[in-house]
Amino acid sequence: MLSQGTSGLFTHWSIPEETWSQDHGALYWKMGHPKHHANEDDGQCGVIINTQYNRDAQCHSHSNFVRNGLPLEVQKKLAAEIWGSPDCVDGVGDYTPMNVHKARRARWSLVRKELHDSLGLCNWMGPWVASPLKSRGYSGDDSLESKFYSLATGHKMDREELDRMGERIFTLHRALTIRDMGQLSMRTQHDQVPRWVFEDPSGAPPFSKGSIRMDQADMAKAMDLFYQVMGWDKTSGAPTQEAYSRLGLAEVGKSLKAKTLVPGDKA
Amino acid sequence: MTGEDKARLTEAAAEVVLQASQEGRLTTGEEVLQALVSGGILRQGEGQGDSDNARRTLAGEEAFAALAGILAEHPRLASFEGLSGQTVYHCPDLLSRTYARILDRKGSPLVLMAEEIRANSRDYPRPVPVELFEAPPFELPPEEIGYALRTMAADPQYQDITFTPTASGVVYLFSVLYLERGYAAFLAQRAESLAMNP
Repeated sequence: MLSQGTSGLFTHWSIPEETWSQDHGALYWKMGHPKHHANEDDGQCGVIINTQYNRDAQCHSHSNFVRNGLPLEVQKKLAAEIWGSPDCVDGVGDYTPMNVHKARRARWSLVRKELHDSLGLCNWMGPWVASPLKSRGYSGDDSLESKFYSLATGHKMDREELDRMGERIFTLHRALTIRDMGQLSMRTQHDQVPRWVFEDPSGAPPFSKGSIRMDQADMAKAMDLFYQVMGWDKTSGAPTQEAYSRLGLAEVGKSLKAKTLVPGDKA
Repeated sequence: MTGEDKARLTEAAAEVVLQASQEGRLTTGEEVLQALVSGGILRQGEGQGDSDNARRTLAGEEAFAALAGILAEHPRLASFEGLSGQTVYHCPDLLSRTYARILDRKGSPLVLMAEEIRANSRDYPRPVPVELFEAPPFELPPEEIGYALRTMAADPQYQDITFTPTASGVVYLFSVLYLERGYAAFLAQRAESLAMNP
């Protein structure tokens, strides 16, 4: 029973997926699994992250940042230093329209989550880009993972290089999903967003202060920007052959190409 | 006072402040002076005295002024004017300015609560649960919290302080100067849900 996941358990308890999917308590996500720190914590960034997994996302890179306890202006200062703009972080429930910096933060969150899982680090605790210390300007260390890795293994690797490893893991995960679903159109068939994300129990419009309701057109733009920063095809949401090759996964791309599961393939 | 005397006095005076900060206490200049006198580092008396190792005999006001200068120049120490009007000292490495302000305001629960509520509404922004003030470092008795809230409700200086209850009945306090009521209610409800969404 446990192997069937949350959906299997709920079905066994006579709670069909259709009922669960309309839950405004914000538990359901898609394809039989629940959400994990989505728009209730982090607006578009949380939504993007929840579209990417085959189970509840278990990603805390983004939620650890927005929940780090620092004043919003300090969070925005750090965000500008790390992801290029203070506008990539909003106050919770005070969301602003999508921008490319939010997509970069979503990408960073996913890559670090994959790294943490692979390095034996706890993604519930990290990354460590914020500090409680005023003397540090409240900045943490965005390179801590690569420093840990270099110290533990003696194999010196900088942040960019290690992040590339994380991106490779995440892209391989994406390739496995594409192969096992036999489906190129990840954007429509996999990266789905539940209806409740676009609703508000009180009828408040998107971007109302005190509402976590997202806007459908804005989320479509969010996915466009996310695929763009990943170097993926925007129409299908699938990695291109170039994206696979850039990460040392050319053979993976070739094997998917043989199944017409790489963008640009002819059926 | 020789340079050597001053160095010893500085070290001893700083140690008093560092020790207090380590123990979570603020220190006034008077308390530092008393500690130095009782520790035999300084002798208070009439007029200038002679040097005997690090010991000095200084007139009260002169000693106090010298000490204030020494503490103000020390790189590890910080000071501010407390609610009482006295200068209070702390070591930010051991006791932050935020924490120091809270300790200073503990003598005036009304000011303590109002300023904490306003700062949280303005900076984070977030409402704070009323139980916050029962916990360290505030440690106010419930009856004192209740009295402060009733007083605030009747005092024109505190008309910005108000509350919002959550569905589970927890009362959150906020300042309408910095948070709209609807948004405060949303944030309070969210704060209540965080433990169920780790």
